Amino acid sequence: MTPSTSDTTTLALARMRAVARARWRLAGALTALMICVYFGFLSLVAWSPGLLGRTLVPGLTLGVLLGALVIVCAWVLTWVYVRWANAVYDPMVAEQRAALRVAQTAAQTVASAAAQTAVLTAVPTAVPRTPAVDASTRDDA
Amino acid sequence: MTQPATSIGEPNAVAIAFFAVFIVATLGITYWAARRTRTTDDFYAAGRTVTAGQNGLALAGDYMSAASFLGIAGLVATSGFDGLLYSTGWLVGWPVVLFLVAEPLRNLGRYTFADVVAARLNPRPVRIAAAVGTLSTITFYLIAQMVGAGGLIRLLLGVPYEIAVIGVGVAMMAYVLFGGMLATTWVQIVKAVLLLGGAAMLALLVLSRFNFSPLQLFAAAAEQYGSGVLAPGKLVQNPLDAISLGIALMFGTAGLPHILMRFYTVPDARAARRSVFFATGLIGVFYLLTFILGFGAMVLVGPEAIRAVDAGGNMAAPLLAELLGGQPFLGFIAAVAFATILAVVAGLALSGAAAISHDLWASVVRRGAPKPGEELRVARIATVCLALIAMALGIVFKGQNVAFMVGLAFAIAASGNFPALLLAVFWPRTSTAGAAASMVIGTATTVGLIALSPAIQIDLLHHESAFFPLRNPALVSVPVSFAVGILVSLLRPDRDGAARFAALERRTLLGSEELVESPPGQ
Repeated sequence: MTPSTSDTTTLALARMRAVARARWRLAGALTALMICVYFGFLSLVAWSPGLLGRTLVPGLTLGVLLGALVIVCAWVLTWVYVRWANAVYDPMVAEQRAALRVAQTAAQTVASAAAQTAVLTAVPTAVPRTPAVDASTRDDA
Repeated sequence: MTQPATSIGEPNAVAIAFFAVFIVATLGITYWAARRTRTTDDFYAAGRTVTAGQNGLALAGDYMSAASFLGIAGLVATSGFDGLLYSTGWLVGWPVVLFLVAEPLRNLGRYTFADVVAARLNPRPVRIAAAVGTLSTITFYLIAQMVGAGGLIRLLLGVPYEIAVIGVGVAMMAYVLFGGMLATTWVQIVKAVLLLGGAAMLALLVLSRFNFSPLQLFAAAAEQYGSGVLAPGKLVQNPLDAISLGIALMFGTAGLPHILMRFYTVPDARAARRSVFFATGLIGVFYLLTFILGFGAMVLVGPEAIRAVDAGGNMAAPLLAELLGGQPFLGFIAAVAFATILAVVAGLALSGAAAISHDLWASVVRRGAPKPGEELRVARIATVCLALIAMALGIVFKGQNVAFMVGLAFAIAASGNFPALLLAVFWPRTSTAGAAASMVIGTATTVGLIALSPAIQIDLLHHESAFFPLRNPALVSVPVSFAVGILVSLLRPDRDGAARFAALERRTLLGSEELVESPPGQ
């Protein structure tokens, strides 16, 4: 394998890792926010029911308003995440995948050329294929 | 107390007609789906051809059970604001599903959530443990649905309890056995459209009496029954109980096997993500509608009249339908409630069958190499067995108060399945022993604490007091499960854990499409 393709692969994977970390950061922050909103609401219900019973306008108490807002908040958070993932995450991952594919095609070409050379010079080479993951998740039944 | 003028409990011709149409239509779908169900991919995952929009509806259909339609409306109608706690609780689990599990699940697994946990660990112990968690969750959920179904159908259509339970079991078996995931998905979609449409129509009819203003409706409720109905009331006596139930609802959704399985039906992680977005929107709308239905039933029908028909309040929505739309609308809503139960139990049975055939048979007994066609055959046998068991349990538990069982199913999902799934995806040092211990001990702790809780000790066994004070154990069992998973992973690490996590990370990044793996170390 030539150094240049190896570098491209490493670089592409490193970039994807950075994108993935950004995704986990956002996902973690949004999860934490949802937890705060919901358990904040539950804590108010549990420990200060009087406050939630306060009438804001006829027919609307703070409790009913906040309950509906928890649902709206869940919508807004999912919308923020999906928008970010569609607009930023997917294009970046697609770009790095394409780079990786180019690098691997190049590596394969080099490898097969090397293998031919190897056959010609009668030096046995073994390329062990290591099972990367649990076989049952990959093999078709 | 006078018996209110209602035809609930008598055979209702309109209900039976609507119901017959639903059964014929869904069996037609099953026939169509059966001709497209040939491989294990078809059976478990509908050939991965479901679109994000369809899966969003199907997720909503899988999730909105009769318990939430009839139960929450009834709870709001009889106790006001407290019922709304459930409306919000059932929804907040969905953002968690989206942020933490939907995409890794689609990228790393094939049919069951155990695929993901087993992806970088030794498969056999992990799959056995995951099957324990899955089958426990499914069993309690199924019992709750079957017992609820028998009671509801008896009330709504006037059919005897046992016949209703057997009818539900047979229809569920037919959908799953012949049509697999494709038929189940379309049954969910039809049901979700019917349920959302029915609830929206009912809510519009209610609001038409209040100048289309929800606030006027709430004000009328406060005027008739005191402003207390719009404030936290006596249902929340123990603050820790409310928090504990909240934990079970929030994290249980991300551990429900039949919900997680749906993410394998879409083509890729992007579609999985979009489908959760649609599902969250639809389910949120539905729970906002339960605000209107519940208070509408409180004002227009009245809590006493509702309790007179069914002490649990489950008939609030049907009574409201009868009041506003007469016999035909009652029939329609009754048929929708029946369709709701059928769709939910079909999804449960399919995920149970997948745990038995894919996790236990193909991966444990056959060590990941089943004979051709064998896995599918075992899945079908498992479906028949599960249907028979569900019918038997439904009849055994006749007349029992099984409301706590849905909470129990969520608590097991939150403490048996969710922590191991999260640790396997996020934490590099998670080991086989750690994940398996987390699932087994999480499930066992939950079941044990429920057995010692007031729901069993006081309500069921009529003891003076309970050994464990909380009705829902999630406050204790979820942290226990995480702690066990982390501690055991640190004490019993896997030998090649780091390399396997690197491979898993690679696959998460690259997606489900298989790129050529360049041999390591070159």
